[in-house]
Amino acid sequence: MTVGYLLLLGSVTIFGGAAVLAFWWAIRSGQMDNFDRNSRTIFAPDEPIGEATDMILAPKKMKAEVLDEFEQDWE
Amino acid sequence: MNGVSGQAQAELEREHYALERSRIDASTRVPVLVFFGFAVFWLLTGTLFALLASIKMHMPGFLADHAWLTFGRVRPAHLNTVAYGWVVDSAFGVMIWLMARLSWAELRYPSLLVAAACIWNTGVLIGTVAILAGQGTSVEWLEFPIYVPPILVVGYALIAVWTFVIFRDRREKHVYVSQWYIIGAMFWLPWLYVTANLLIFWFPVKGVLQASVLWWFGHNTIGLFFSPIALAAVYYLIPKVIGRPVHSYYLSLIGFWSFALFYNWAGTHHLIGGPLPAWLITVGIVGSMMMFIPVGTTALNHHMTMVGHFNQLRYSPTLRFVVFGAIAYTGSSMQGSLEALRDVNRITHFTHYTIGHAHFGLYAFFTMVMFGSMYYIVPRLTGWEWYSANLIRAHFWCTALGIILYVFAMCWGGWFQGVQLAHTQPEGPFAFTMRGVLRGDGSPVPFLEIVRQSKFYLHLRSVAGGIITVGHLAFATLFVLNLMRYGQPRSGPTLLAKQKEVVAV
Repeated sequence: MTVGYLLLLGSVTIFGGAAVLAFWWAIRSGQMDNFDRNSRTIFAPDEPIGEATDMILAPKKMKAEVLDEFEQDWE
Repeated sequence: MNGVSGQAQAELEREHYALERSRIDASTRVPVLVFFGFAVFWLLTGTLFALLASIKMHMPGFLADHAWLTFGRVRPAHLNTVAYGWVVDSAFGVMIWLMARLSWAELRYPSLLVAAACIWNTGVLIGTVAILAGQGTSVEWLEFPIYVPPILVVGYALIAVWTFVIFRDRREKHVYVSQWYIIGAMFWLPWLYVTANLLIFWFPVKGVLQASVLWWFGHNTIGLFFSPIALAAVYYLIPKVIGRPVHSYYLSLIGFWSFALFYNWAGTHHLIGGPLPAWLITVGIVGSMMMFIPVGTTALNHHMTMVGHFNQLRYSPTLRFVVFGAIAYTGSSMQGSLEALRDVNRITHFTHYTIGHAHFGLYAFFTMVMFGSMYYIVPRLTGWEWYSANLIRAHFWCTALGIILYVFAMCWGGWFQGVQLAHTQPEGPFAFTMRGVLRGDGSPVPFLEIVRQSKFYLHLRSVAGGIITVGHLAFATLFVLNLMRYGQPRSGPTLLAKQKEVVAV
């Protein structure tokens, strides 16, 4: 039972403590500073915003058309 | 700078990034494909056990002459091969690939992860054989005999540490929301698994406390490992496939932190009606209700990201599966929260309804997201496109329609089953509202009659399972053909060429 209490206590402190630490770190290191820029970090010049990256079910011709249309929407 | 050289420079920059991205993808190739290979193997094995168990529910004599194939062994074998084989292996693969990409860092010493995959899957194999041999512990979600968890923990430790190593090597300094989910999952699972094993098997706590530990673990394994990994994939793949940043990054972070805060509390709702202190169960119910916040924000966010791009569901298999999964996440989470209410639980507990809900979450959400992720990841690792668009379509429609039928049959049938079981007196609480379900004079339905009526839904489940199996076979075929390099080489493996040149399948 002692082991049980130790584990439960450890669970509370480690779970909670780690969450608080992580949150504190996130704020301190500027992770929360610029949401707009942060949401764009998964894009890069090779896979820019406005370009679809998975179209394998489209017929070949349509693929080009859809992409063109799509790019125009973004401009 | 004039226009021409500006354009040339943009091309060069594009190529530079594409090369870098392909190097990062390539560094994860072997371990991720090994994990996916194991995952597909366990998917087929688990499906086989599932079908056997499902058929046995309405044909008890089916293959029942052999001890290894009795329901009491096949059913836990299904649960454990699917949960620790398919689900966890596919999650590991997706997680490693995502972590490397999002950290913009190459994976070092990939062979270490291959070793970890072998250790993990050896554990799962030993455990499954042991369950079939009759050595299962009969503790749900922890049926593997006591000597298996240490093997799993060793394998897991290697994987977790290595994921953190990729994260530490990161060159993209921003921690994207998917990375938060992955880090959370990596941290939460070992604590849950080790604590549950210690308190139930090694230093067993007394009585009902074991049940509360078990369901704290059982519910959190789903919520704090499976869900975060799938959500990480959704948060990356939807924006990536349609080429549009997530609608509100702020909401996505609210979603993550409220998820981290509330999910851990919800487990005790599995024990409503059990001999536990009422406050402990109430805490679980409150936690379940609070889950509306992360689920609602996540659903809203994904929907708003997709708005205006739904036509792309026709062209991208990844998007189809992932969006299906994301919708199922909202549906199953809300269903789960409502099920935690005492009044609802009173009907649904111990009926087929719960099984319907479990598959809604773990299949319609998690598994579909993993399929979608694998459709995106595998060609980028092997350099080969999928062999057949028709097989992909077959896979999607079989699994999607199959699971809809499954969930519908189990929840519908389970609800009626629950109402009939709860109605034990001639003028019980549901005599009026559920007149159609009960006997004409409002008297209770005999137990055997309830069993007989539920057989229809059990048959439906076997049919749904059969349809899903066809989908799985289509997927396994595609996966093997891709590994064997049938089909077209990817023109932009890891996208060296422009998107418009993608080869039609």
